[in-house]
Amino acid sequence: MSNFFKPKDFKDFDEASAPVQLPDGTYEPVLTDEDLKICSRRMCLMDTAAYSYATQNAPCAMFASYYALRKIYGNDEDAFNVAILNQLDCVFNATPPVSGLLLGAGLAIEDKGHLNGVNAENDLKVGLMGPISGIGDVFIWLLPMTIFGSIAGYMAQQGSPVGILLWIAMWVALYFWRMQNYVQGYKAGASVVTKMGDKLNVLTDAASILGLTVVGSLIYSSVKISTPLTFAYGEISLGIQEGVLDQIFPNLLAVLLAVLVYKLIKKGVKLNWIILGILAVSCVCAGFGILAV
Amino acid sequence: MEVNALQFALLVILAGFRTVDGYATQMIPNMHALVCWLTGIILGDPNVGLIVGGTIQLMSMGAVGLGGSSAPDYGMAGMVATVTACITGNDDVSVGLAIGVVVAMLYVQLDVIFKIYNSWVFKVIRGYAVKRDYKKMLASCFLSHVWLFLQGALPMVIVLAFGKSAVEAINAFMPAWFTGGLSIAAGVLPVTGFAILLTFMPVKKFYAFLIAGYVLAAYLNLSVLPIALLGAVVAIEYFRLKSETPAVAVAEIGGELEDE
Repeated sequence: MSNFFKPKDFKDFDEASAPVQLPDGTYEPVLTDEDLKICSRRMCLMDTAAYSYATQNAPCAMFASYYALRKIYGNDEDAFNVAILNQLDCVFNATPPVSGLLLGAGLAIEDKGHLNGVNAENDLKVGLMGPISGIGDVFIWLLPMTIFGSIAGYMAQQGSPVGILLWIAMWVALYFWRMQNYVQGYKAGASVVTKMGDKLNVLTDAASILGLTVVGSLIYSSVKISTPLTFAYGEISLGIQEGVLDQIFPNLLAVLLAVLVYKLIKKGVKLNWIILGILAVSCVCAGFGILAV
Repeated sequence: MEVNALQFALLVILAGFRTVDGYATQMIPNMHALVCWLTGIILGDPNVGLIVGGTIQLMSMGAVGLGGSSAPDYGMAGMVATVTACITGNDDVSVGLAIGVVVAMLYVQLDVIFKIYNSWVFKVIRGYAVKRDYKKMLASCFLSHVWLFLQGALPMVIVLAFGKSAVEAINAFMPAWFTGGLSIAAGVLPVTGFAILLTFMPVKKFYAFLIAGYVLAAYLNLSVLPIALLGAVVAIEYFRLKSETPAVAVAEIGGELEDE
C-alpha cells in the first residue's frame, strides 16, 4: 500500500536534494502525475473528516498534499514548515470529490513559486472554493441524488435492489475519475473552474430536466396518502378518494401536500418541525379516521 | 428473532463504517437504501431492508448537508428502522421508521458536537506541525475517524441491546391512533425529501417537466426507469440544441440555484 498513499521514492529531509532555483527566481517544478495521484487518493481518506469550525477542511487539504509538499521543498525543512502551517491556516471547504481540481491548481503555483507563490495559492483556493462547490454540489450530490437516488429508493420500496446497483456503478465511475483529479487541476491551473462553469450551465439545465421528470413521477407513485371518508346522500354513498379526488387528479392529496411542504420550506420553516407536524397530523387523522393507509 | 454475536458485530461495524464513510471516504455516501439492504441481509431479511431503505432514501432526498451544514442522519434512521423491524419480526415497518426518524433528528446534534471536537483535533494537528513532529501530525488527522466510528457504532449497540424491548413496549402501550398515525406518516414522509430537493432545482424554469413526469406515472402507469429514460431523451436533445447555438445567453449556475 505504500505506493498507493505514499510515493515510493520518498526521501527524508537529510537525504532529499535541494530545490533547483531558476534564473528568474522561480523554481524547477518537481511534481509528477504519480505524486498528484497520491494527493487525490489521500484526499479520498479524508474528504471532510477533519471539518472543524476553526479552518474548516484545511487539515484534510494538508493531509492530501503532504508528500507533494515534501517533494517540492526537498531538504529545506524550514520552508516546508512554513508551507505546512500555511496549509493548515488557510480556510478551505469545497465539495470533496471536486476539491482536488482546485487544490491541484494551487499546488501548481506552489511547485513553481514555492513560498513566493503561497499567497497566490491561498487567494486561488479561497476565491474559487465557492464556485467549484456550486458546480460540485449540483453534479455530485443533487443530480445523482435526484436521478439515481430516487430510482434506487423507489425500486427498493418495490423490493428490487437493481436501482441501488445502478447507483453504485455510477459512483464507482466517478470514484475512478476523482482518484486523479489533482492531475487535471495541476495541468489546467486556475482556468479549470471558469472553463467548467461555462460548459456546465447547459448540462445542469439538461440534467435538471431529467431530475424534475423523475421527481414529478415519484410524487405520484411514492407518496402514499388517501382518505376512507365517504359522502352519503340518503341511499347513495360516494367514496371521496375514488369518487372525487382520483377523478380530478390521481393521488391529488400527494400533489397538494408536496406543494404545501415545498412552500413551507421556501418560507424557511425548519425541516424537523415539518416532520414532527406530519407525525402529529397523521396521528390526529388516524384517530378520527380522516386518513388511512 | 434474536441477534447472534456475529450479526451484532457486523451491524456495529457497518454502523461505524457508514458514519466514517459519510464524512471521510465517501464510497457509499447517502446510499441509505444500500445500507438498509445490507442491514437486512445481515439479519436474514433483505426484503425488509429494501422496503425500509427505499422509504428512507426517498425521505432523505435533498437533505445532504451541503457546504458543511448539518442534515438529519437518515442512514442511522434507516439502520435503526431495519433492525427494529427485523428483530420484532413485524412486517409493518412503520413503528421502526418512526423511531428511526426521531433518532435521526436527535442525531443531528451529534454532528455539531463532532465539529466542535474537530476544533480540538485541529489544535492537536497544528501543535505537532509547529513542533515539526510530522509523523504524529499525520496520525492525529485520524482522531476524527475514531470519533466518527464511535458516533455510528455506539448508538447501534444501544439499539441492538434495547431496541426490541423498546418497540415491544411501544406496541403494547400505544393506542391505535398512535400506531395508525405512524403508518400513515411512513407513507407520507417521502414528500419531505422531494420538497427539499425541489427547492434546490430550477422549478420555475422547468416546472413543465414535473407535470410530464406526473402524467407518465399517473395516467400511463410507467415505472420509474422508463420515465427516467424518457426524461433523458429530452435532456439529451435539450443539451444538443443548446450547445449548438452558443450565442444563447446562459445563466450563472449559482444564480439558478437561488431563483428556482
